[in-house]
Amino acid sequence: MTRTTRPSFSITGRTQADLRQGWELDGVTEVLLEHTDLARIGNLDTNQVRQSAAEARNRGLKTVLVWDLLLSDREIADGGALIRSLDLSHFDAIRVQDPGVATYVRDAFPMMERQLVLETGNHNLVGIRRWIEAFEPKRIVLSNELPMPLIRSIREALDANDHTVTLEYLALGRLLIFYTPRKLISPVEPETDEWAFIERFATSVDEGKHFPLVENTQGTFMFYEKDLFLVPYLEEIAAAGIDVARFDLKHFEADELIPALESYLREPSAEHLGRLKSHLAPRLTRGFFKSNRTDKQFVKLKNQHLVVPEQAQLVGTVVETRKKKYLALMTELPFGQNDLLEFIAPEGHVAKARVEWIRDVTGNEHDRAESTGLWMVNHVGKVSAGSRVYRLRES
Amino acid sequence: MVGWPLGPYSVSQRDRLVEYRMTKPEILAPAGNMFKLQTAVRYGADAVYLAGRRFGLRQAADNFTIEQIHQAVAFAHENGTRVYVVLNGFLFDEELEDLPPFLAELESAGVDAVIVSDLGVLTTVRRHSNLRVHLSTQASALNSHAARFWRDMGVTRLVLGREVSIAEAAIIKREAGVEVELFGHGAMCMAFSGNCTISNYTAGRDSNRGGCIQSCRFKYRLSDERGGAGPQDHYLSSKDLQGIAQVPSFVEAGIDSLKIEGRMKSPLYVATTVRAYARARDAAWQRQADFGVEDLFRELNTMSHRDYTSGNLVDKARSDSIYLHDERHEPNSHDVIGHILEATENHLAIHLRNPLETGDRLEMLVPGQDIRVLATDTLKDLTGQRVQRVSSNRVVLLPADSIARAGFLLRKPKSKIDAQKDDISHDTDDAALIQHHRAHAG
Ligand code: SF4
Repeated sequence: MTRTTRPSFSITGRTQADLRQGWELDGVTEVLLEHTDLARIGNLDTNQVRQSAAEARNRGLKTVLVWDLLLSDREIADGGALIRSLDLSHFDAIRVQDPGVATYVRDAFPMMERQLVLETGNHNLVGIRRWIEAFEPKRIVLSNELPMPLIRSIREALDANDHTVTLEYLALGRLLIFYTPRKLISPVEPETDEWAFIERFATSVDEGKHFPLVENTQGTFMFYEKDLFLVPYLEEIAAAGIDVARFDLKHFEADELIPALESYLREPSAEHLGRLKSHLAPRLTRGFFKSNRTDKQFVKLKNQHLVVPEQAQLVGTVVETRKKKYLALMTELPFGQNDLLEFIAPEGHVAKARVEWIRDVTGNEHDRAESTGLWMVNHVGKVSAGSRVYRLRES
Repeated sequence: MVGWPLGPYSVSQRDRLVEYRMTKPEILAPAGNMFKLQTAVRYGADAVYLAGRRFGLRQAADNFTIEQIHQAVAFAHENGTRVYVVLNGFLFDEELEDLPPFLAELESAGVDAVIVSDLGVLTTVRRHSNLRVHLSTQASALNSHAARFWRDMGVTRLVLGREVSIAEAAIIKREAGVEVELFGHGAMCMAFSGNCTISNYTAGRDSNRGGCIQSCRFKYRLSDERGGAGPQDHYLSSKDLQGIAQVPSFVEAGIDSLKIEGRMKSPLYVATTVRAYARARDAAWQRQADFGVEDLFRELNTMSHRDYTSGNLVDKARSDSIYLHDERHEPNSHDVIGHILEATENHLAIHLRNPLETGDRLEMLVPGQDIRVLATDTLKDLTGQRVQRVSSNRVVLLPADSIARAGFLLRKPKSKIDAQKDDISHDTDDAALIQHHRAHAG
């Protein structure tokens, strides 16, 4: 399949005026309509959604009703009733994330085109294929944690199987990093109305990072301190197989940002780039667009000296040491006199020693410590309490 | 039916619940390592969950080698306890390729189920094994439509999102015909599980692959503008879930499993929580009107914890579920002393985690029974010498005790007041919380 040099654009906006301005941008083919009671961060009421949908349709744009909340059964029923009242003929597609909502939409509105948000996890092709089979969405919205090489391979695999599903990736906007149904701002600001749309910044006191925070009727949402800015990479995004780049404009002063975006898209000069960036957060990120190495540091979380190797024969753990007198071992495997043992201390020191004698706690001598439990053996230098004890295979 | 109250749901929901058969929920305990697993089994867990070295979420827990999984399953099954293995990371394709040999090992070990959150992992498990599959809470399954979807994908049990109430869980079970599991105790994500990537972006560690740095527990300053002045507090931190008063509702609503969070927590935590929840569950199952909730509250307060909340178990968690405290944890009333390494007819050998002195009140947690106080008049070291005080990380010998068994956990009250066990009265917070639970339960 040949790819165009740029993806087409899908936009959001906080107000009707923002949407009108946004869909004038060259390349915009789709409008996401976010109702206060259906979308995570929606600011449009029923009339505004209807009007915007009608206007967008008149301009030949695709209209998508966003229902991306995670919901209980009762809330799904309420949402379904609201959607019916909106008149589905206004919309070309419904966008969902909760698999329960997706199931409900598939069953209740079978004729509606579905767009499935897979932005939370979903890092593998096996799962993505399964989602597509289950819900037959026309669009899947991929996670910004997927780097371009992975997206390219997903695209190729889907093409090879004649999947006609289109792929979307957020290219400009805030990165949602935390979503809770609980209200976290209004309870601590008694003067605020708990039904209001509240915007704050939460600065982590130790790290000094400033995270945008929104509370509305749907809960509380926290965003990464840096705005995602992939506008300079639209050609690369398209080349990787992304059909639609999303510009999530609702968190910005749209009447300033959109003209700057328009100028840059028309002529990507340094001047236009600077102007565009000036309307975004002071710090910007490409997210994981180039690579995702988020699990490379995990090995440092544990004391590696105490991690039992996969094939090792763990005899037990040293529970007490008495210098030049004994080691007390709590054992998990039998061992015997003359066995060669390896001791790895929590601090990393390694000692090897043969078992010279074995006693039980009452002082009786034994040739073997057959049952698992508490045993005393000869002291071994530099072995401390907590050391792991392994049986060494002798060649 | 005694009519244990399920909370403020509608009459129609209540009517539908009556159709349910009461279920004796399994007590499902965390097993961060072999000793914790053995502890959970000893103290009455019906099932435990553990992770292998890969594919799970708690990368900082000790976790189990394949050999240890075989041993763990053998030990658990001998004692009538089921073993579930967590595979709940969101995996990349190359990791999925490594999964089938591991699944074969799990099958040959005889594990009872695996816990997954990723559809790719689920598909791989179904393709390459006959293992039963439970859906992790990481998938945030919140409704019966989602439950039907996951059931059709081959899941037999859903660990529902922590946002789901007991009453809602009962409806999900009935509508979807799947087993349901709810968290009853432990630390809680403030975010919808699986929907928090703070660590991914701020620390380069994937919270959905075991790298969460618990950013929701940090202190934040709130202000109108980026970097502006404003008050500081722990605005994103949740109190700990504690659902001991709701256990009868678990039974009445037919919840299949009550899960205790905390593979990273101590053996004493495992023993204390399993013992408390198993007691509450057994009493509820036998329809005992008074199952000693105050005593169990007191038990759960012996451990360090954030303030407790009943979360969403009864109704939606409100502002009082936020943990706006400076201290990391509420002080515990008791300190761990250690556990019994060996119990013979001559002596008890105890591995000490904290110092012990002659005359200290030493409390032994006995599965299914009351706390037993051990005599500490005579302490001996491993050479048989009498000693007055033994420091931590040493072994002390005590006189034999007929009830004591290897593996039993020991603790000591921190204060003299707590040592006078029968005189303990609840502090104001406990009393208020019990009252709150009662109000919602009744
Ligand atoms: S930071 Fe908090 S809410 Fe987020 S994953 Fe970690 S524990 Fe959960």
